[in-house]
Amino acid sequence: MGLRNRFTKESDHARQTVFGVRKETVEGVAWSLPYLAVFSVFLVWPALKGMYMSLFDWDPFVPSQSEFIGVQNYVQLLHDPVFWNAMQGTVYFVALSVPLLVLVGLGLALGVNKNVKGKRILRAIYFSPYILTVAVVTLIWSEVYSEGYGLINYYLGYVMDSPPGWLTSTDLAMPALAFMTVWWLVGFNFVIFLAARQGIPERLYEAARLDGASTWRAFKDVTLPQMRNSILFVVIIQFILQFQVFAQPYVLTGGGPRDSTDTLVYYLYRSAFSQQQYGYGAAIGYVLVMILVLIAVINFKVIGTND
Amino acid sequence: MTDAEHERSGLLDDVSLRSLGTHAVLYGTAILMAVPYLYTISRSFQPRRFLTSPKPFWIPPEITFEYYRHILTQSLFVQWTINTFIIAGGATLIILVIDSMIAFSLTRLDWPGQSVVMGVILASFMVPYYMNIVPLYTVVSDLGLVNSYWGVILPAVASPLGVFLLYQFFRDIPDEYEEAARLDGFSTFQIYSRIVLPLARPILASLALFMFVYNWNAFLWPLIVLSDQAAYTLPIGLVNLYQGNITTPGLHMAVTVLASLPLFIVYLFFQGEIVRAVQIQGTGTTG
Amino acid sequence: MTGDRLSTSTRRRFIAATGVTGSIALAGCMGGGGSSGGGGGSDSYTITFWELFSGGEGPVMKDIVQKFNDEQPLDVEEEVTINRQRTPWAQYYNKLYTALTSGSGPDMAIMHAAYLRSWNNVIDPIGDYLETSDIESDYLDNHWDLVTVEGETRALPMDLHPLGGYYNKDVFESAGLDPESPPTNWEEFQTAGNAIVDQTDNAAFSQSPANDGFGSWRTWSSLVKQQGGTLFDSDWNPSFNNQAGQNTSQLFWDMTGDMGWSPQTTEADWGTNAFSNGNLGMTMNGTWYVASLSDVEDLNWGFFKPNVAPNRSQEAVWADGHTVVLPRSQSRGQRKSELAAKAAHWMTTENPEWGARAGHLPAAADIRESEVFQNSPFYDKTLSKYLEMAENDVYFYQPKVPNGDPTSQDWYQWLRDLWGHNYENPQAALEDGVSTISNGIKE
Repeated sequence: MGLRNRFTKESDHARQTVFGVRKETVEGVAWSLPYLAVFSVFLVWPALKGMYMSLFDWDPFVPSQSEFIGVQNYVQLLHDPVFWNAMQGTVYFVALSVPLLVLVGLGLALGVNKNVKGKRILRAIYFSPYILTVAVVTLIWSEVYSEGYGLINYYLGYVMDSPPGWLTSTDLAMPALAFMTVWWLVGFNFVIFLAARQGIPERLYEAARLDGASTWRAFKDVTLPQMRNSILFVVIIQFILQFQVFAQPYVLTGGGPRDSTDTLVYYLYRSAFSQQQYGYGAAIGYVLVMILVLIAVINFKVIGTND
Repeated sequence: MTDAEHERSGLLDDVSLRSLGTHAVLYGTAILMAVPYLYTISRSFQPRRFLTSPKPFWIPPEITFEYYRHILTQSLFVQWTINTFIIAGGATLIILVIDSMIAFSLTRLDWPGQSVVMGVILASFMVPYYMNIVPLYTVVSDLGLVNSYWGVILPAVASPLGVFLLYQFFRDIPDEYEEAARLDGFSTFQIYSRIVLPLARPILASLALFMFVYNWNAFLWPLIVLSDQAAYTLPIGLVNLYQGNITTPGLHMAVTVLASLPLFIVYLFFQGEIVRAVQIQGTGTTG
Repeated sequence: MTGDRLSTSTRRRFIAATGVTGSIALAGCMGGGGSSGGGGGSDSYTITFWELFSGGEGPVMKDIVQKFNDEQPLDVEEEVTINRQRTPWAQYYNKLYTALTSGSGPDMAIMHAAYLRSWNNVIDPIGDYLETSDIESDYLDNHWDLVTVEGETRALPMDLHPLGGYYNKDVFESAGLDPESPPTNWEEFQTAGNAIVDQTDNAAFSQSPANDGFGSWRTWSSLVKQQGGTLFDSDWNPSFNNQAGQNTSQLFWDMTGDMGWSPQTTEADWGTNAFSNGNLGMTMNGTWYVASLSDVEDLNWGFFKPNVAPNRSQEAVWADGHTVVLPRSQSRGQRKSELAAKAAHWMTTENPEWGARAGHLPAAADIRESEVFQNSPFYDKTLSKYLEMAENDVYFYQPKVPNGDPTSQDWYQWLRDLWGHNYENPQAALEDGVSTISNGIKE
């Protein structure tokens, strides 16, 4: 910005004034205002209000009569077994889905980048589930996973006597949701990795080859460092998104069986919108933010500064 | 056969074998990924007795359009599609206008405090969307926007993503264009509309398509804000068909196909733009 | 108050002026113009009305509202229009409560009687706007009891929808049972179930076709009561971890275990699919099931009274009812409230279709004698038997707990997981249920 600003400051346009204020300042503010208004009311203000609400036993009828309870909501959270179960479920879901989302996305991108036929078709198919709404994704997979007449269990029926209920077994339900999520979202990571890989200058590989580097070394010394920013982006964004998993358990399992697929955002939703504990719900939201900030920082430290 | 020859042909075999393997893995994955689609489409045309048999039929032994007819005439599907279109389209349109305005102001105009503003917008990326829903609901409710289009559109418009993408792009437009235009007596609005916007057309298209798809698919927020089923968007409507008294798998499948159709058509024609919008986010380059 | 009202209507005008919103979402708010001011000489009112009906009931309610708007049946000078909004049950009570707490709720709403105590803070007793003694005789006594809580008439009763038993006659036949003699007690129930499992490839019994928590509760609590067990003590502590509760939990456990009456699954709608495909012998569900069963072609089904618990000491069948309430509202105004109360009275007393087509037991005293009701396609098959049970006074109502959400699936998930053997043993499930529900009530 610096260079250009120095230039515009000297232009005619910049020297004009309106009621004694630089015209460009007036314009700059005016052009920013529509977005800033929406941004302030619907993003910044709620974020601040949420912090405030989380310190109250919020009374939804008469907010002004809410009782200030300090960090009591947060203390209560720490002693709330449902919260810890939801936390555990969320972490489990993230641990299952994020590595797969990143690795499968990367693998497909590196594969398609090779000399394969039909790149466009492959790309179109890999990316396509991403444009589906989660409601459609869950409806489709409910038929695939169904215990009685599902696609998977029909074919499993050939090799085992009683195939498991994918969404009705406490051990399998969460992995099933995670696998479905990988199918749904892997295309997003794939196209990013593909673009990043295609952006690596070929001469770097030639140089590596001249040095007698093996494929593995070329991958380690050229591909990975060159793609670091994209990998960092994808890992962070997937952590953020998957930590907020909601619709998959909400639609398919209702958090069950035996609360094995409960998640933080689902619990937040129930606390606020079915139990009307707004302060408590807001507190869960803030805990979520703290976790995500922590994860982002760790990611930056681990992936970002490898040199 | 000499050693050298042997080595070379071995290498060739190795290369073509490996290429074959790559193809097999890539196409295998593609087929596996397409299976749920094909299965869904096929089942949406099958009479009930085939759907409830434990043996799946890939090719419908008998075709029925009953489910499609039912959904189009007996449910609020058409109304939901219209709602979704208004919400996703309206949000996209507003995003394009006001995001490009502020991005223009932050990059092409010089005013005190603009770096602070950009800093705040960037920092807001750290606010996970869902964290905000409880206080956001109280705000939207205080404004009387519950169960209205605006109650869904305005929070969507507040997303900083578009500002961020356009900011990056506008910043990289060479100053020479603008200088020349100023010398020709262009007003600020003319610079925006005749120089910056036309140059930004590709990224605007990508942003528009991405935002349209994103808001078309939005789930949690519309679920919270919309209460009257006549005001539902498609994703919410679908889930309610599912959770309601309709337990015919054929209806689920048909509604799935119908609900995905509009976006699939968009995807078919504008695949490049949508993919590019994702790639820009992930690689920070507009190329 | 006046200030409040002013700002609300200004706000609405602002929203209307800004465009798109107006079309559907706020139609209710804008209709009727200044009517919310009350007594301002305005002669048209729009009553926003929320309901939750789907399946066979939805279209009937739609027709009733249409009839109201067309015929203007109230004997008043004003023109009254009902603006109906439907929210599916899965979200209905969350949405309604959230809307009411934020002051954007409807003028009139359908509510299950189970809520009439815990939601006392968000409803106005109907007696505030109607002389209840004038209309009490329009309703059957047991329905009037249903809406009377703590000595106060909180709503107008619309119907009663008890639990019933449903069986597949063809499955009975192929199991060598008499398709016209459904079970009337535990011994016959047990014999029938075992015969189905032994003689056919079908499942014998599903505790609830939807295989959901609340559905399981209807059946489970009926069986507990039939064995003389209680559900809550006088301080609203769950008391169902008693002998009858333990026996019934063990029975549920065994049905998907040693008895082999049903697969051990928690898959949603397992029973719905199996029963409509003819792969299930018996199930239990509310009156509303009748309308959807009638839509299934080639399904030869029959009805039985669900008094089939082992060691039965009394007949007892779960029931709840739909009621019409006037939610607490700052903007409705006195006249509009009176009109809404009249509309609720009309809706609950002048519409025999509600029983005839939706399959429920109407609350209005004279509807049962009406031709429309007695000519209902379900009359002989189910309604007459439901009426017999009403006359024998076997229904007990879904407990009106003092707090929380009495029909929330969260409260009863443990029964579904008990059915699917997701606990170590039935006692663990029962104890989990006690703690879940008592937490839900305390909240």
